[in-house]
Amino acid sequence: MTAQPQEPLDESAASVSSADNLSATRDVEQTLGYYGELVRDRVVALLAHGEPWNYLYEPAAVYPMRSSKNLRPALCIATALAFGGRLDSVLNSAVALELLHNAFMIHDDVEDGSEYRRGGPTLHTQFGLGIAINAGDALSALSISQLMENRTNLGSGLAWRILREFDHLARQTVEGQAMELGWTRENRCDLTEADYLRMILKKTCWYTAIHPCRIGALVGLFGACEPSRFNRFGYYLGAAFQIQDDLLNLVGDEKLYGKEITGDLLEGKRTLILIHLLHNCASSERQRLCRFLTTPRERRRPREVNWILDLMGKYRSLDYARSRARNLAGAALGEFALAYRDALEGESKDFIRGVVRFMIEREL
Amino acid sequence: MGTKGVAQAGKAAGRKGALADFANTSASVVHTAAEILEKEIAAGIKAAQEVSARMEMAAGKSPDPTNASFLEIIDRFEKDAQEAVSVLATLFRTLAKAVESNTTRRPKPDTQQD
Repeated sequence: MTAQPQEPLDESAASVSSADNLSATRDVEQTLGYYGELVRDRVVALLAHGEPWNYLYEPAAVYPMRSSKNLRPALCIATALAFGGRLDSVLNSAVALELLHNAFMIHDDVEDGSEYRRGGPTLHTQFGLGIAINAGDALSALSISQLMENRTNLGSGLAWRILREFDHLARQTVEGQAMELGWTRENRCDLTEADYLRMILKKTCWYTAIHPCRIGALVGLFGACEPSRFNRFGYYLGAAFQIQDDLLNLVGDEKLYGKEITGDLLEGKRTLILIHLLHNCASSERQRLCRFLTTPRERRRPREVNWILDLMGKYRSLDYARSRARNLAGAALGEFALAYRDALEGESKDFIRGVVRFMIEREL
Repeated sequence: MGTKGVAQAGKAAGRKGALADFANTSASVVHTAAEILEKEIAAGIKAAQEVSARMEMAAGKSPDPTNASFLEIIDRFEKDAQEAVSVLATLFRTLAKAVESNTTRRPKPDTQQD
């Protein structure tokens, strides 16, 4: 049976003024920064005294040391606190999420042949392919160590449940990544919006939003909750995040965004914007577009990329994606009211509500 | 138009429809997403059940120290091993007797040939 999406929407959230929005966005950014600093300190402490420093721990520390959104650990921590948990109870899991995220990013940059990440060169361009891949492996291994630490303060039963959450999120992420890589490799031009939504559920949403919230609630309520209540909220939130990320990759400010603008086009990624364009442009334009996508990355020219950007404007593919991101963020807000209905009122709950709007208004 | 032009045009157009889009939770994209989530979760549960069933089957065939049939096999092996040892011991004893017998029957060195 297919359950219908929840309708309730916090009307006040849709009618706030732009000044309130700006203030709320700043609050969210500050809280993200605060949680991010807590997690970064732990990550750096884990890596600081490792040997071989030059060949492993120094490169492994490069991405964690760069400025980032810290969305995953922040959602996990805030959810735990919103359900009455303690910061020291959830920190191991939050650190494990960030370590695994950094590991994924290193390998993702290799797989995509990306050049910039978080405002600097990608790890493989800075240290070479082998060192970078191995540093990613090290961060994955360290994330498991952090999860094992959960036994000390959460007990074996809850630590095991959290490990299973990680098992699921890791597998879903690599499956989603495989879908995206496979589509590029086979130069798929027949994909639909549903294909895209399925791919980002697996590649992005489980590990970016759904599981961080589920794990936070498990810790906060000491296991006494059904974590599936966060699935829809996390999916809609994660999907809005990913579509906004795709938009920023095309039209964002490179300094704020931290990655090369139009990098997704150069890499031939099947974003919602590209899928919409492929379905709506003229036949001759579609043929030229598909030819561009078969061209190896190093032979793709800026002139062609600008032509595609103009097409995306002409066929309103960017507006379409913006609209879909807002639809999903609105649905996430409706689901928030249900998933967090018995959470404690306060800063943590307000922060998570604020994250929904931040997802579609962010420029970084 | 290029990146900047598209970005500016998008921002201007985006602000107008933002609130309407935000409130539209019955949009088709939300329904599609909800259906995909349900299907993925159902597929995940089915896959987990299949893995669990395979693990149970594999566990049934593997040597479980508390399993009765496994203990029976071990017991039989021990008995067989004991029998093999006793057969070997008998064989050695027979061989030893034969060697001893041959030794006693062997002629003494002929020291008086010359």
